Formats: sequence, C-alpha cells, structure tokens
Amino acid sequence: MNNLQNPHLTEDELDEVLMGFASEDATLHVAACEPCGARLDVFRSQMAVFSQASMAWSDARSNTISRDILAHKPTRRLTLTTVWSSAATLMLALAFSLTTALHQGPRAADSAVVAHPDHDQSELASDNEMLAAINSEFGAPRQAQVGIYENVTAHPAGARSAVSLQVRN
Amino acid sequence: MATYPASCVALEWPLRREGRAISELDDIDLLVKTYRARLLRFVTFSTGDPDLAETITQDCLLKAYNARLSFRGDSSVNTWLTSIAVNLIRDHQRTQKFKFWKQARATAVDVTDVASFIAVDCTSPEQQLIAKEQVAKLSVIIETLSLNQRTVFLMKFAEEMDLADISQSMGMPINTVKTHLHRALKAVRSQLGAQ
Ligand SMILES: [Zn+2]
Repeated sequence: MNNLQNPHLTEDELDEVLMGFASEDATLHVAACEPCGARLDVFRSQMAVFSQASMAWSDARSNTISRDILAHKPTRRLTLTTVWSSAATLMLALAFSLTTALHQGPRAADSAVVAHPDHDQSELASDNEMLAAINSEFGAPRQAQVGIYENVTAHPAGARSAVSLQVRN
Repeated sequence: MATYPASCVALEWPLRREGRAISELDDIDLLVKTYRARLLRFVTFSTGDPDLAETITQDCLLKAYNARLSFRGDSSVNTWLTSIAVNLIRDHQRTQKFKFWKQARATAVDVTDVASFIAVDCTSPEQQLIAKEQVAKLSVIIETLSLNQRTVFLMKFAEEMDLADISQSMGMPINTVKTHLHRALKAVRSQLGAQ
C-alpha cells in the first residue's frame, strides 16, 4: 500500500493481484476496497471480452481447417544453411551463364540476350530446379525432434519409450 | 539416456498407458476437437500470423499424436501441447532474420474480424461497439509485446494457466516467468489506460 495519504494499492501491487502472487495484505485489501477492486475490474472485464471473442473467432477458423491431421505434412524449418546453399546455387548458375556468354564472343553474347529456345529451356530447367529445392525446404516432411517435447521430469519408463519411438511423419 | 531392447518397451507399455490421458491422445479426432481451437488462438496471437498459426497448430497436433508414447502424464495434456507449440513458435522465430522469404506468405491478424465475434447477448449496440473497440485495441497491444512477454501473457490471461504450468511450457524458471508476465501486464494495462 502507498501510505497514509493514499491507502490504496500501488499499480505494482494491483499487478501482483492480477498475476496471482500478491501478498495476503494486498489480497485482503482488494476484497474490501471498492476503488481498488474497480481498477482491477477494468482490466479483467476487457480481458474477458477479448478471451471470449478471440476464442469464438478461433473456433470458427478451426472449423475451416482439415480435421485429417494425419494427412498434414509438417513444415520444415528454413535454416541458414539451406538459404545460403540456395543462394549459392543461384549465384553459380548466374556466374556460369555470364562466363559462357563472354567466352563465346560478341555474337554469342548477343545471342545470349536475344531469346533462344535452347538457352531458355536450360535456364528454365535451372530455375525450376532451384525453386523445387526451395519448395522442398518449405514443404518437405522432417523427422520430428521428439526429445524436445518430452516432459521435464526424469522417468525411466518414459526414457525407454522415448528412445525407441520413431516418429511417423 | 539409457537404451532398452524393444521387448522392455512392449512389456512396459500397457502399464504406462494407464497413467495418462489415453482417450485424448490416442484418438486424434478427439485431440483435434478438444484442443485445436484453443491452440490455434494461442499460436495466432503469439505469432501475429493466422496462416502460419494454422500450420503450426496442425504441426503441433501431429507431433503430439506421433509422440504420444512419450507423454508421461506429469502435466496436463494442455500444458504438454502448449510446450510443443512454444517450441514450434521458437523454431519459427529463429528464422525471422529471413523475412524476405516469409513476406510473401505472411498475413496479419485482422483485429476487426476478431472483434466481430463478441457475444451479442443482452448488450446494447453501444456496448457492443465499445466491446469491439476493446478487443481490437487489446489485440494490437498484445502484438507490441516481446515474444516471451506475449506468450506468458496469453498463457496466463487467455489460457488461464497457472504459473507452474506456464513455467513448464516455456521451459523457464517461475521467477523468469513472473518477470516476463509483470512486464507484459504493466505494458498492457498502461496502454489500455487503466493506469
Ligand atoms: Zn484500495
């Protein structure tokens, strides 16, 4: 509580009441003091409205998603390595095209600019290959890291099955 | 971690099954029905991206189902699922430096859409309007919090989890949870104009 001039709870004390770890004095004060109770109610009522609306929204959205979880393909994390390897592939492809064009002289360089069916095909194939690699990084299934999701408490029985468990992705 | 032959696991399996929520975890339809909407809300407001949240929620349920044998019943199924969701969100956050990859896919939470889901029973149009504004405002304020603050705030005040469960789901000591929670609450209350 503040002091004799202001006997009400401080904002920090009100926060502690809301978080559920206030002192006994603060809890008793709130129960008996209308102004402090009203200050808590402002937050509680707004939070209640938010919880209700967001849950209703989520319910509606959840109903639009497939219930067939087993058909769901887990996403794969895009790692620094995969991004750099994709970028490196692109750079190599560009460098190769440029070097080839320059070594073949002005006429060949001109033809590299002018549309050429064979060149378009190889470029297209190279682009598709790179896009497929990126797509597979985004969409390919991966082995789940079951260990991360195990409960914290040590338990020999759980340890056994965690070791033997193969995740079906 | 010690390794055991498969026969040990097979013998021990029926005993362990008795100690956990068998029906919820072994029945994937029930798992989806009971937990998906709640998980989806938690992940949506934690990430601020409803499309990504759908994917993470489906990933989470699938991982939980596939790893159901490792669930020992030390926590509730809800706490366990939340801890899986938190790890998936963190996985995603680690790749945030590659926003250019993500931008084409990213979507924001439509706060007006969320606000349109307020209960309309026994309230006047004016009260409904105020409630909608409150929901929209709170949604925006939650987005301004750091990931840890946002996550513990949602766990406490939207999911109504206790501090011990939040601590377990976050893999954080309770005092660290309290610190994040207090900072989050202070920021939210001050922005709501309660202080
Ligand atoms: Zn008071």
